[in-house]
Amino acid sequence: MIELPDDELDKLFRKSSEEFDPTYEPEDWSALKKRLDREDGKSPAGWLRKWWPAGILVLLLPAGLAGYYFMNETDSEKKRDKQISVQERKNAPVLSESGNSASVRDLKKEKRKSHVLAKNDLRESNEDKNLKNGKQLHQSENQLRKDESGNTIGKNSKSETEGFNRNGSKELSADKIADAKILPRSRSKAGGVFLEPDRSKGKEGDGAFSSDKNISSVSGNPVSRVKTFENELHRNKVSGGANNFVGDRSGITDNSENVLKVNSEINEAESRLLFPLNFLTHSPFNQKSPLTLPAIASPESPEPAVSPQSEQRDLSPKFAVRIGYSPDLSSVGLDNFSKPGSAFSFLAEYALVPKLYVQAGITRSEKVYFAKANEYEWPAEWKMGPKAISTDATCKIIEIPLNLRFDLIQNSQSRLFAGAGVSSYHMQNERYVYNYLPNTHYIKWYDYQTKTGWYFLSHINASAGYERRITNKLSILAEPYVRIPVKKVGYGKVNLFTAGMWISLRYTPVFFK
Amino acid sequence: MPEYNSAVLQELLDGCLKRNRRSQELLYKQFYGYAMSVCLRYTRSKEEAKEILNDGFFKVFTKLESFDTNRSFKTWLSRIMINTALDHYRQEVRRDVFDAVEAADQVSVDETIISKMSHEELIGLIQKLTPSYRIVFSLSVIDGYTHEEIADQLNISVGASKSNLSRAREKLREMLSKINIDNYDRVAR
Repeated sequence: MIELPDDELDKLFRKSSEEFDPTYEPEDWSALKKRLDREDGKSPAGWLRKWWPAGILVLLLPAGLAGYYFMNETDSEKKRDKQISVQERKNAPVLSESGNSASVRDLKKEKRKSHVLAKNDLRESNEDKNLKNGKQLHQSENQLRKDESGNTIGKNSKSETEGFNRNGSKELSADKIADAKILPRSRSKAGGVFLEPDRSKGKEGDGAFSSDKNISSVSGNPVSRVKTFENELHRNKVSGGANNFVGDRSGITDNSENVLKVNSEINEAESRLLFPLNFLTHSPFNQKSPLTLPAIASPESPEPAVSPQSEQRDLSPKFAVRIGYSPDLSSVGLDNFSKPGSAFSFLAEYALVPKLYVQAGITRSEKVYFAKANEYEWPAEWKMGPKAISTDATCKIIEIPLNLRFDLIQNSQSRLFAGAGVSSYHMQNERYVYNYLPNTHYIKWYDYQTKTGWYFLSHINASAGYERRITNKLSILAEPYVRIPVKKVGYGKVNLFTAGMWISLRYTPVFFK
Repeated sequence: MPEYNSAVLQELLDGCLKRNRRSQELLYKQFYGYAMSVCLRYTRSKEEAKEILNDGFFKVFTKLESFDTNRSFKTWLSRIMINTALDHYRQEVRRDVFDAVEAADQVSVDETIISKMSHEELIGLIQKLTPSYRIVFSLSVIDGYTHEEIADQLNISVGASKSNLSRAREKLREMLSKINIDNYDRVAR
């Protein structure tokens, strides 16, 4: 038995440590391999961790498209309903006059059932109805004219309101008329509603000739008198009487005693002053407005039916060109972004269908990126010397993009769009600077310059952007984008990822009419 | 001969730089024993050693570009394993660091019995030390760190490092003595 000194003890354990060689256990490698797979993105979780931003973008695009289609469908349905409503309002008097018992609600239901019909069919149907309405209105007008010719002028000369009543609808009672809402003239096309009197000069209103005062001096209601007189003139025309009051004033006298009565009431000076009224534009309202329905409870401004076809044509020009500049960031993977690069582009767009464009052109970019040693493929022929721990690269690249662009939301001033496509890279000039650990000896390659040419369909493009119209033919765009690598490019065979934002000027030969 | 001249090792390292899984596996297999022996003397169990081993190799494969091929890969690997073990140790409960140990009496051990002990058993004795003694003993005695370096690494004083080393030796002697007595009793019976 001996006492073990420190150095002997140390030696004993040192020797054991050096000579001890535990046996290899494969399960330990399996555990590490799984971890490395996750790190390299070879496992689904790792891939997701690496590419999740691109994945989100790819998922958002179809979601946006689906959302747009849904919104578009709803809008078009609303628009169609509105159009139907307008058409119904226009059709209503005809239906009433012709004794058609189908109510507006029934008609609407019927039209909703026939939504499967194409827009053109709908349009045609509406046009047919309009034509029919027009015909009916014309007949109605003629009928009214005939009626009017048979009526006495005394009736006509009673009052303005009564004249409306007789011309518009014989079914309207005095009480109903009193209850009816008077609409401004801007809504004069709403059927069955009394109009506010036109007080313009052309209609002998408040701003009419000063002769009104003279007339007023003769009788109590100059407007009524003048109107009556004018109506009388028109009736004479319709009934084949005098075509020109000045030319054949006797025609009036011949036609009716009442006319003579009126004539007798108006002195020579008045008739001189009234003379030019014959040359003023005749207001067709009294005879052409389909005033057959009772007053509408809630008058709604009828919107003129806009042909969807013409709207689409106006908003979707076929061809456009754009030039753009983009600051961008390039990286190998998604975590090595270094200095920003830049790109210039010239693109042409052609509308395949409304809102869907095919886009192609040329982009010149300078990409600055950093690659770690394991991300940069060290050239096989460079066997000698130590390897760099990282590489700084500056590459001048010609890109040929081929994209599809879809307008998601569009109005007269702006639009939101999304695009996707592919790009081919032509490596024009590649300059690499290699970084080594401090005190590394025998360094052979400090930098290298080369060009490796074409890499077809090497990247997938995805973008979304906003376009704002600045003139009829020019608009400005802001479009964030990504280029996702599907092929390794360059001398170092790197997966070059780029993200940036195009600021573009877009020229459209016909933007909006 | 420097290791980087070894064609096999160079090829393996090239493959590992390209993240070639087969190359990584071969490198792992080749240095498994060496790395595990390092890890075992810094840990209290084999399971813990395996955890540190894989953490260390993970660093090797992901940071291989920082390896200077002019230097010894084995030394670099050993350094990574030790650093990983120290990281692990720092995360451990630090209350054990300055555990007081009863002063051991001078213990006599029989050399013949010691010589019959396997390396594994001797490493096992190191593993039985408290973490602070184990780390200081391994760093100082086996891996050749100075007390200043140890103090810096473990954020303790040089005196504490020396004290821990001394107490670690005493503990090991105590354990060896116990083994010696047990074996003597067994032979005597």
